[in-house]
Amino acid sequence: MSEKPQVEFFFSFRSPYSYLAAERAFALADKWDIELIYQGVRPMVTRGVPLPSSKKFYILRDAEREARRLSIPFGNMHDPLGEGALRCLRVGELAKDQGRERAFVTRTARAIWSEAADVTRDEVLRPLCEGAGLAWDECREALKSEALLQRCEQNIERLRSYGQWGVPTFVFKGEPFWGQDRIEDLERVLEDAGVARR
Amino acid sequence: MSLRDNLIRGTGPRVLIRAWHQQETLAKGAARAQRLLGGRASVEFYFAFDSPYSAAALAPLIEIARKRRGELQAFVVGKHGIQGDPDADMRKAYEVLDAGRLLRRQGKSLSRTKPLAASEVRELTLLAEAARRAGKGNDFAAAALKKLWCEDGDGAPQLADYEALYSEVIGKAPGGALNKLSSAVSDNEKRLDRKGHWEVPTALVGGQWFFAHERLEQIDAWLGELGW
Repeated sequence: MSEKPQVEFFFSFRSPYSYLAAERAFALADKWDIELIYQGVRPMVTRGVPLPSSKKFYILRDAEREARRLSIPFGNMHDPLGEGALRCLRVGELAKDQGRERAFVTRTARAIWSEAADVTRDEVLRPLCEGAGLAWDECREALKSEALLQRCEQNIERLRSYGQWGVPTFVFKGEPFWGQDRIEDLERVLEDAGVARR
Repeated sequence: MSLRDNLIRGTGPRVLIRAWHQQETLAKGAARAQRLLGGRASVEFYFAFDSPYSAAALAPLIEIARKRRGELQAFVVGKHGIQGDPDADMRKAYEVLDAGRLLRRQGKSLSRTKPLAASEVRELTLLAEAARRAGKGNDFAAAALKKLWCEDGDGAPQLADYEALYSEVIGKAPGGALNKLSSAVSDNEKRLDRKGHWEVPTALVGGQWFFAHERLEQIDAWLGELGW
């Protein structure tokens, strides 16, 4: 078990805000002496959360505005809701076991949200896996694994135990920070807590 | 994957984004025309007293509007959010924590530690609508939100305190028929819904919606892009 302070990063492949947060989230461990723990979760709508049209449109428009402001490629998308997201979650857990979650999550999220990658297709997912240093045979096995998906269900319970429901969410010493636009507040708290910078 | 599926997952959102970009170009043209006719920038703001985020949003938004020589109209609502949201209680608790951090960015602090129910701020909501009709809605709303969330402790607000604040800001005591303003507040809620949003605090600026508490810089930048 790591002795370093831990920051949990709850993430969904279906969340454009999670995508916008991802590079900066993993980069926190480059900047601060922390362990960044990736926690993949299923999309909100598959958890029974109502999503009216006004909210769908707002999220898409605001995410696109934020992406422009942050100079992050965005817009040429292929929504992975359903099987696509579940496949990525399973491979994400495999990647986490092999210490390759940063490479897989950031690359795959970019592909979904800016390269129209349909991750339900093996010919699309395979190069993303291999590009992250994962063996495709192992990924194919992971795609069938209920145990890996069950870990993501446990992540949802863990997220809710912090009084949270949405992604991306960061948690440091039990304090949640929801949103790709709360990283500065998280960093202020890391500073106040005396976490060393690298 | 079917054609319909591809449309929903990819083509549809891409077309929407392109349409929004075109809308931005049109908005800049409209703003130019407005300036030629001597008009001002318009910021339409929706807030609620049970929303600590509203306390973090309004005062800086007033400053932004002032800096851009714009007209800010603040509309108070009672009901907001998504009906049937299973996470509503968690959201309210989190808002208090998070609003405290957002206020800290502004060098301010939250004085409350617990959420307020809409029922606890009903009369204050009606006072705010009365203040708007008296022409000093922004000033009263900003002062009342500051007092409610940054000065008062936990517990329901004392109406007498806010009636006194009303008198101080408006220059006269509130009228006796506050309950008659319930339908006006309901009209504000319908207006918010009709214009395409569901929550507070939100600002409609140059055809774009923003969650005001966390998009203050972006609102200012957009007003700048519109030429104000």
